[in-house]
Amino acid sequence: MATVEPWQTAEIPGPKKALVITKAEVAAAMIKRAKRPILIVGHKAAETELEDKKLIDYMIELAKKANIPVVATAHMISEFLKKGYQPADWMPAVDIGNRLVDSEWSGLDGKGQYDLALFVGLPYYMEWTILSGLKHFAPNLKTISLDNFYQPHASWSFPNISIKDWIENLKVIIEKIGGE
Amino acid sequence: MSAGMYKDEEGKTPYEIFSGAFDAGGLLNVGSCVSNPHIAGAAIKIASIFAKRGLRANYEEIADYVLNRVGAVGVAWGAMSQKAASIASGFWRLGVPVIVGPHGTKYRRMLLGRADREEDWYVYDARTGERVYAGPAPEHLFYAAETKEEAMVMIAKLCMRPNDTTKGRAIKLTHYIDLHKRLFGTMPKDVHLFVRNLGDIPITMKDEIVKILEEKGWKETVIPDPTLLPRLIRKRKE
Repeated sequence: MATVEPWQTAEIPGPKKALVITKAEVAAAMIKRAKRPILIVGHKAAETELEDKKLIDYMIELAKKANIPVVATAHMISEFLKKGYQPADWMPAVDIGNRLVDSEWSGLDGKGQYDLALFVGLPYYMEWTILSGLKHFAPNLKTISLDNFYQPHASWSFPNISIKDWIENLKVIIEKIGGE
Repeated sequence: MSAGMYKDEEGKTPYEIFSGAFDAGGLLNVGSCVSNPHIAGAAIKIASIFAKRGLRANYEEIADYVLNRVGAVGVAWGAMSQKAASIASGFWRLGVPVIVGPHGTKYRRMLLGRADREEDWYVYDARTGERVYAGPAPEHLFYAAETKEEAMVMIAKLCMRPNDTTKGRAIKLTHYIDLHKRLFGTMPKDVHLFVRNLGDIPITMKDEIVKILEEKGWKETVIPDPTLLPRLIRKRKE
């Protein structure tokens, strides 16, 4: 069992910290239960190698299976297009963070705010501050960090885990989402 | 200063390769932090020299001028001290957007505009007193980019101002679209917000952009003499 401490130790997250996802099935159930989920994918998804695949491949698979709209941040749109996948939208990470805080934002499709935001592939410290903003100013939004580092400002996060465990968890989530 | 340590094949430093003139492509070492206000000074001088705006006790008009007309953007990449961050805040206060790197989110303060809210982007046309949609220009005043590619595209985008001439806007749009296509691999989704009339469209991209404008239901607007200060309206509308 990995330690449940922030990966970045100098920052103090405050008393309300993310619940740890110890079983990937739980994360899959939460994603399935969400009415309006959204997946925010940062630039590291294109750089992170997970054995024979990249993180972006897992995210495309997840988005397709769970039918979750994807927001590509930074220059990730080009990486998605290279893979033949059209994300729902692309905008800067700080921009989507700002919009998720706004309870009157009508969403990418004009159907209203989201109830669950999944974050992956942003720089650790940037994701930290964006999740902190959401924790404090978007009380109705639940957040899940799918990175392999503990993000205490999310509602749920993996602990600091190895690449091997991370791959296993992602595989389980994708598998469980697809099934009944 | 360490930029001066790099030399090309001819043994020239960046300061020798690029001109120090106040012009496009210029490179100038303005010295230490305390000399940085010279950069803001250059923006202020534009308001003073070109528009004859008084400099004494007139911050409001100067900032209004810089925000609406001077196409400057500040980039502060990398970790910065509190002092450097306060210099950056001096720029955005004057209406010059500031782009910082991903670590910049740790300042816990972003000044982000909402391009999707049309009502946020109206200015007064000082000539007529009408309120005119001027597009999300500049969209943000303090902004953290996640990657250098994102920063490069955003620099081009934040250069746009409501008072751009058609020629100026066409050049700025060329840069923005070109960088966006090269680094993001696609056409920007907000081009239609920055085109006021057909003269704004870069000639080489005319067909492509006109098609987008038609799809988005774009309508031509006027290029205003923009201000946010009602007292600068020359002819008040009844």
